[in-house]
Amino acid sequence: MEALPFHNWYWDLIFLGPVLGLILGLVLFKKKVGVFTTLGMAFSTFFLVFLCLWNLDTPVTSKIFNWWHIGSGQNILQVDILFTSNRLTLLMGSLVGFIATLVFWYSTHYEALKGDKSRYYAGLVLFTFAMMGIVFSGNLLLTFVFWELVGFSSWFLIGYWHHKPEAARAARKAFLVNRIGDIGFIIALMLVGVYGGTFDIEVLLREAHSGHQAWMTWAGAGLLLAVIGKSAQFPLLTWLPDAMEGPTPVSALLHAATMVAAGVFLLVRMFDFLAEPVLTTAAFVGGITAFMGAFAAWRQEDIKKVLAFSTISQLGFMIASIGAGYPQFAFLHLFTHAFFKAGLFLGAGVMAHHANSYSLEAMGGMLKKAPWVTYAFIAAALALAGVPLFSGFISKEAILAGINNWTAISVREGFHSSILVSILLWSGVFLTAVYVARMLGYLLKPKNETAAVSTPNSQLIPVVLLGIGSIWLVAGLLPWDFSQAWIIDQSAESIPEAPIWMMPLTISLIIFGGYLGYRDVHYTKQKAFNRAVTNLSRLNWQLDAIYNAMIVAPTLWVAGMVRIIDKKVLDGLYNGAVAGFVVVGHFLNLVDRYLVDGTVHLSVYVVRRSGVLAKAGSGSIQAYLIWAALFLLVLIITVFFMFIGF
Amino acid sequence: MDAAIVTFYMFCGLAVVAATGMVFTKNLLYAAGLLAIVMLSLAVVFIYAGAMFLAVSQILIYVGGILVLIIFGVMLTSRKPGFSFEAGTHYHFFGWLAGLSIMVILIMTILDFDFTRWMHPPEVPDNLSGYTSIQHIGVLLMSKYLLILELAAIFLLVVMAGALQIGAKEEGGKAS
Amino acid sequence: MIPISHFLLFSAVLFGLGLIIVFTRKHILMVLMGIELMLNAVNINLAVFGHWDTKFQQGQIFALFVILVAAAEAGVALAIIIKLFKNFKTVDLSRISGLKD
Repeated sequence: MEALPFHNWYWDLIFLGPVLGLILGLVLFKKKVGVFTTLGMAFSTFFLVFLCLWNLDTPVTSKIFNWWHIGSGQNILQVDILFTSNRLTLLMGSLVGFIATLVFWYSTHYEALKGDKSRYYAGLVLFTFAMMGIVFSGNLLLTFVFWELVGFSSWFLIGYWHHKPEAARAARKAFLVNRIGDIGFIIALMLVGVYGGTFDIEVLLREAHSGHQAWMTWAGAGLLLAVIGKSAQFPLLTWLPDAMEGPTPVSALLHAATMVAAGVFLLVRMFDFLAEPVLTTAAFVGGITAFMGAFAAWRQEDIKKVLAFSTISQLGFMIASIGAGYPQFAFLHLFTHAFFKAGLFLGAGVMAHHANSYSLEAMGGMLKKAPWVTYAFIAAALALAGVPLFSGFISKEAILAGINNWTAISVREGFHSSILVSILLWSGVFLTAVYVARMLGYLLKPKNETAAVSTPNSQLIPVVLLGIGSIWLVAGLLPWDFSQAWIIDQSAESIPEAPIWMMPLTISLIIFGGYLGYRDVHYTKQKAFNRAVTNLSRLNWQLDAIYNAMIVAPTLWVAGMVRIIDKKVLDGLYNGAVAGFVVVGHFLNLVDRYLVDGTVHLSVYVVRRSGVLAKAGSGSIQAYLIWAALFLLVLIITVFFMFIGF
Repeated sequence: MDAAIVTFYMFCGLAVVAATGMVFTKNLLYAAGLLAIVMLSLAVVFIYAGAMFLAVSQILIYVGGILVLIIFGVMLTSRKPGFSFEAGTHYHFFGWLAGLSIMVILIMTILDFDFTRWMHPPEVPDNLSGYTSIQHIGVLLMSKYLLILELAAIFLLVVMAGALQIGAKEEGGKAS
Repeated sequence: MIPISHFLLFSAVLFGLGLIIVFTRKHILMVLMGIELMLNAVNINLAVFGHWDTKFQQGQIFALFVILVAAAEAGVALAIIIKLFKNFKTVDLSRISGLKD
């Protein structure tokens, strides 16, 4: 098809649709703000899909304006506002838009959001806007700006019910854990700025393609750390399960399209930039996470917790696939995963409304109460487990084939521990079937209650649409052949052959796992081993406790010690000094009452006043200001000595 | 030495002395008065810097507006019986250390810099020589900076509404 | 002609004095006055360097908007101080330590 000429105002249509909808809604009908926002989002999505049809294979980078620059002549570092439209960004943008539209629509009648929804919708719009920014940005610095914006708005939405202490705590945790990852991003940005001389992603990719340099390895490692934080990978995965405290539609958006997908998307986008060691690390991190997440999802009691850990596990699959050198397969899985995970979360929200609880025990007999939602939920769950004829099967098959190929090559080159990644991913597939079957088993357990509430159409239709989106047609025409999936660009990279034993193996693993998981619902024997597994799974490998013991507690201990030193030693010194001066004063008083008295009082005064150190954490604004200024001084002096010299 | 230049240094000295007085005085009303002196001296300094319009707006806005606001603030917050206009000090050591060090670093940087390129201000271009400085600024504000001016107007409106909202007594609560 | 560095030195001294006022005074209105002093010190620099931009007078215009923002800030600050006074019954910063914990 002939590509459309690309104008800069297209970006306005893409970015400003939901924003305009929100503003119109706030001005015109405050009660109907959700409908307006949904329409705006739908408009942007429609436009994006339209662009997908025409411009998929003609990459365009448009420069909006020159943001700022440092230096001049040869040493100039120019930063432009760039937006890129290519195959990857357009597909991802349409995906984000589609999921966001459905979530916005779903939220219009979501019962738990009582009263005024304008704050909620403002948060959602900011969230989606920032994600669109990450997707289309053609400049790494701009990406970072939107990256932080995504972090901020997720904090806002997770803590939407800020009067609930758990929600506030979860929001804080998500924010802080993400900050750890962002340190990596900042380091990467510094390296890129200093050594690369430009933040333009296309230029960086081209440079990396023509030959890797040492700094790119470290910058890539920084990016990987950022992604580990944002996509909840192995060391930093504890925030995502806690993020369940937010409203359920927010979880759907966060898990499917915006927050955690941003990390995977960034790695796919920057794939050529990442060096070999970074990729290998990514493969291991992904493998470990896929296994840990699936295991932790196994024995959860809360349906949202099951889904949260399953997201972590599926993201692990994607990261591992990128690490193995097949970013397209990771993107394929991201695409199919977005549909079924959003469907699962939205469906769980409806079912929790019917059951009045998120606990799996209370979920029985759903087929009678809300048949259509349950059918859609089952379809999405089967896709998650990777059952044939569903979309998850195709993408998972692709990832496993890629990993298999990578392992074979690595072993041939003498890198034997890569087999571990393969094993971890296969066990991940098995455990996925186990926990999905267990979850479905609870849902379908008959229960003698009649339907009490009806589901509004604005919730039913999105869930059913997403359920339909879980069948294989979303990914490609043939339900067994991933290489024909329409998302995959056939010309870009070599597509590995799946070995003949792979499909039977996956299917038998799924059937066996499904049997085990279904049995789990009805026969729960309380053996010691079983109990231990349950505890380990339910508490997510005790990670929270381990982090508490290893990081939080020592920090608090140090802080406590500082406080004690402050209180005991410094105050003691101060009191002692005061006392000493007073004693000396009295002594001198006898000697020369009139001459020395003033001096002593001055000294006492000075000592007492310099007790400001003891007041460091006093909570007074001015104390903080002074410390900030003193630190600034130290910084200035250091810079003088380092770069200029007196 | 030129009388005009002597006047400049006189007003500079006056401003510095008044500001130093503000650091030490205990009485809030004295401090407000000293601030007024600083502002007026600064207006004179602005004239020497070639900024006539700024000098006038300085007197209008600061002395006429902000200082009055501050004095209102003093009156409104010291209505308790037995309350004087006394204002104490704290953080003597570290506050002075931080403030003075930053001042010293600023001064050292300025003394270190070579100002030869900045000896004489440029001539006024031909197409502007018909305007006086104030007329020129008026034209600029209504042409090149019109958007900023309008935004500033909206900003001030919002600030007014916000200040009213914050300062208003609570609904159904007791009067202030 | 007065050398430009004298303007700058003058502004540096005023800025430092304003900083000291902000750091050491207990009364919140004194802190506000210190901030105004610092803003004015910055304005001197803007005005002096603006003298070199004869065509667009950016220095003067910028200083003008700084004054505007300072006026707005004083208005809002006064409202906040009155609210603070209602809540804490004092404007003594050494007794207002809500940032602790």
